[in-house]
Amino acid sequence: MRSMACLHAFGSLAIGLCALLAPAQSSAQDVAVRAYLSPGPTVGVGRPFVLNVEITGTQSITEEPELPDLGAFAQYLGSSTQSSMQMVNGRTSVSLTIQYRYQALREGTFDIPAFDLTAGGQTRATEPLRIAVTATPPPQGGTGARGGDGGVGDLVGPSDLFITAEATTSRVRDGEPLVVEYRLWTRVDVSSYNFTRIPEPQGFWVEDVTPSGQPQIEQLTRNGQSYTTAVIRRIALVPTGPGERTLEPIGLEAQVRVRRADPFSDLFGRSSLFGSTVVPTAVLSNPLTIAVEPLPPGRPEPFSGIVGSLALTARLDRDSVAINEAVTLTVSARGEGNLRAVPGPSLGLVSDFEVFPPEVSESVRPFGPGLSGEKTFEYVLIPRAPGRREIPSITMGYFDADAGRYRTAATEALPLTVTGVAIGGPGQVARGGVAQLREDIRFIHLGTAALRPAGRVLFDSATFWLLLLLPIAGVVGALALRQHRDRLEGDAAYARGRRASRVARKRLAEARTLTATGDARAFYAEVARALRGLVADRLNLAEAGLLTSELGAQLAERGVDEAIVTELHSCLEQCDKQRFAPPAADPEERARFLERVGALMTTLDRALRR
Amino acid sequence: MNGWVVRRRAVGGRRVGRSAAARVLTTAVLALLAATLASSRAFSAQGELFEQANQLYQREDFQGAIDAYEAVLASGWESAAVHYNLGNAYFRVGELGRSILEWERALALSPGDADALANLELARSLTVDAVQPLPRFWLFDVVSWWVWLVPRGLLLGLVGAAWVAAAGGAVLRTLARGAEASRWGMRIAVASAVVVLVLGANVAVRELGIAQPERAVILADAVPVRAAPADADDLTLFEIHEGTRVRIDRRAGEWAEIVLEDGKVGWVPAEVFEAI
Repeated sequence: MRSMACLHAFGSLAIGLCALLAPAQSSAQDVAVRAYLSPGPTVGVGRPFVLNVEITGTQSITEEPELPDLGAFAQYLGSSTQSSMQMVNGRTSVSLTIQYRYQALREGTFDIPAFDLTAGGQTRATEPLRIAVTATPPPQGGTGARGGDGGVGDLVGPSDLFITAEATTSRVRDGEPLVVEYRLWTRVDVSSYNFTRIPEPQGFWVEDVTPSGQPQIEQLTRNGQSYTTAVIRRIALVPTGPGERTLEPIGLEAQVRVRRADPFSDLFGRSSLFGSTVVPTAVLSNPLTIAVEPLPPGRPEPFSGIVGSLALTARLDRDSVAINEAVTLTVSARGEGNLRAVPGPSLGLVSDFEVFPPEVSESVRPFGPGLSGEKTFEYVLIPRAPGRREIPSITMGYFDADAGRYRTAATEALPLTVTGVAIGGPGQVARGGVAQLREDIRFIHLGTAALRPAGRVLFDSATFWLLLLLPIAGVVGALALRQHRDRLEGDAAYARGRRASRVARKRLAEARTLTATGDARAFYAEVARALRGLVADRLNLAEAGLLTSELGAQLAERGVDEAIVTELHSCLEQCDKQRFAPPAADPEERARFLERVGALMTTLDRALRR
Repeated sequence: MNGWVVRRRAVGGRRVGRSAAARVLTTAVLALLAATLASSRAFSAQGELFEQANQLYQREDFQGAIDAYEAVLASGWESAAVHYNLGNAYFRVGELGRSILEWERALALSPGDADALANLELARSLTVDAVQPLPRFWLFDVVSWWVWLVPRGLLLGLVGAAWVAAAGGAVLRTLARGAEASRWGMRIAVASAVVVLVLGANVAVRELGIAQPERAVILADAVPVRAAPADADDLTLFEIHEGTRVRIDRRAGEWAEIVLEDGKVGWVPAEVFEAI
């Protein structure tokens, strides 16, 4: 809806001249650039102004200039260009004017810095400009009094066309909805309008609740004046946190039809049918400040997020259902407040029920100063076990805005009879293999280490060899023992020989006791018996009647040393002699003799064993 | 033994002889006891170190646990549990090759350890090389299964007990006076001898390392395997990676000839692997 015809009075004159004259040589001209503001350096808040850039000496620019950012205080609306050609005294001069239309948003004095412009191969810089935006616009001159330059907005005063923003309340609680209405007031003929600026409210969740269709037009009186008015935008806001919030103004550009008195311009004006012309006019609403208070502590869980009122209902589509068949549970939350924020309720069902994700439907409409509506959750439940079941009560907390305290909405518990027989018992719920969630190594071995020397093979250990050889030694020993025993049993001579030294020792011991008692005869008899017995046993001879000479012969035959035999003879002779001698010999001598016989027996026994 | 006459002396002489033997025996027993005591003291110290390492592992100080386990091993003691836990710690710090090596060592000490087998299976699935083992003749598998069936301690105990029982049976057979006792001795001896022969063969195979080729695990990230023991790129046959288990066939200086489980043969430097 942006008009290109705003300055057509000047433009049409130039084009008219242009059509009459031949095209001129213009390339030799120097390029000059001028920037200026219209309607002037002072503009009212919400009023439009135009940044004009006039380039003389060319009719085209190489590229669009890079405009300074005026977003700090103005809203860009659009741009238009017009070119003109003039011939004065045979000299042709051409110029190009680019008009950038803005709407002033903020009070204050602002600088528009210089910017570069490239045209005809030359780059020129504009002069920096200063603009003052005031709350009260400067007095308007008569329409058309300043020529084509100040056409924009001059035809329509700020009291002729404006927007008001109105909130149902300026203090709300966190989560409590409010409605903001934007109303267009006009005393002029607005043929159409379009929004140039709809800022996103910060810190609010926004729901556009503008009535659909054409705005309803009313006639209202404001400040003693009668206005045609319509609600052009209505939004519901729900604060998302406590604090002071500002709603930025919205801006729109309206096409205003005005009657004009200039008949010349009517001739050429494109829209000037029936003596009227369309003038684009920008207006801005007032900003709003909303104070959002936090909710008091101690909210019940689960909390619905509703500030207002809430009622919960639950319904089953039937009371009785067969096992493994679907039953629908409908939970609806109805009330005033931001119903869209209501989370899905937790059903708290036992695992005998399979629950599918709910189907959610919601409807929200403005109601009084806030919102009201309904949100419905439709669950499909499949019971997997028979019996009398119960859908437990569902609770949800909310903040009662009227009473100023928390309340809890709850549904009633719903009984449900599940008929049929479970196949495989009640533990049949979604049977399947145990799913491996992740793979990992097994845990370390705790407890004792059961350490042993590293790398030592069995055959190095002494225990092994001991254990290996000891039983063998045992068996060998047993075999030897067995052989010995067998010989003792079967070979009398061997047995006698093995016993010889033991018997002889016994007799000698008896003789030793006799040294003390002094019976010399018995002593010598016993010693002789021991000596003879030893030899007889060793040689397996009959002891009785063994003659000394025979003894010597036998010993010599066995290869016994001559000296030993002689000694034996000598000892035996001594015995015989003493046996029949008077008992004069003293015990000393007997002991010496016993010593001598002992030595003899040791050597004799050794010789005979050989 | 210089005389028969003075019995006391003679008896005394025998006493002297017996006491000399007893002294030798006592010394031996004491030495054995001292050695056992010393070794058991070292044993208990290492046992404590092992438990400390386990605690470090459970506190997720895996590097500390690795150091402690390695200290146990460095002191000359080992067990399947130490190697297994060390493998776990290495796995946790991301040393895949070393963890496989230690689990293989644990398995060598305790064949059939289910945890070590499970961890090895998981670790092998993470190695770069997926070597398909060649099929083996079933009889080898059966024999190997039988040889490694019984745990070492139990096997040694069984063979030792059977050996003693066989000797006892033989002694009974030799010395028994009654025919019945003699028969029983024979039976015990024969039965125990059979056990000794059968299980003793397992002991011999296991302890002497018969049919157990030297195996190793690759620890380097990637190793080119050459056709000959020389560092030349044009000799490269294929490349193997960390964690792959190989058989060492022979060594030549700094090089070793390896055989992969799928039968591929080649030479690698000896420092890239560590024997199990």
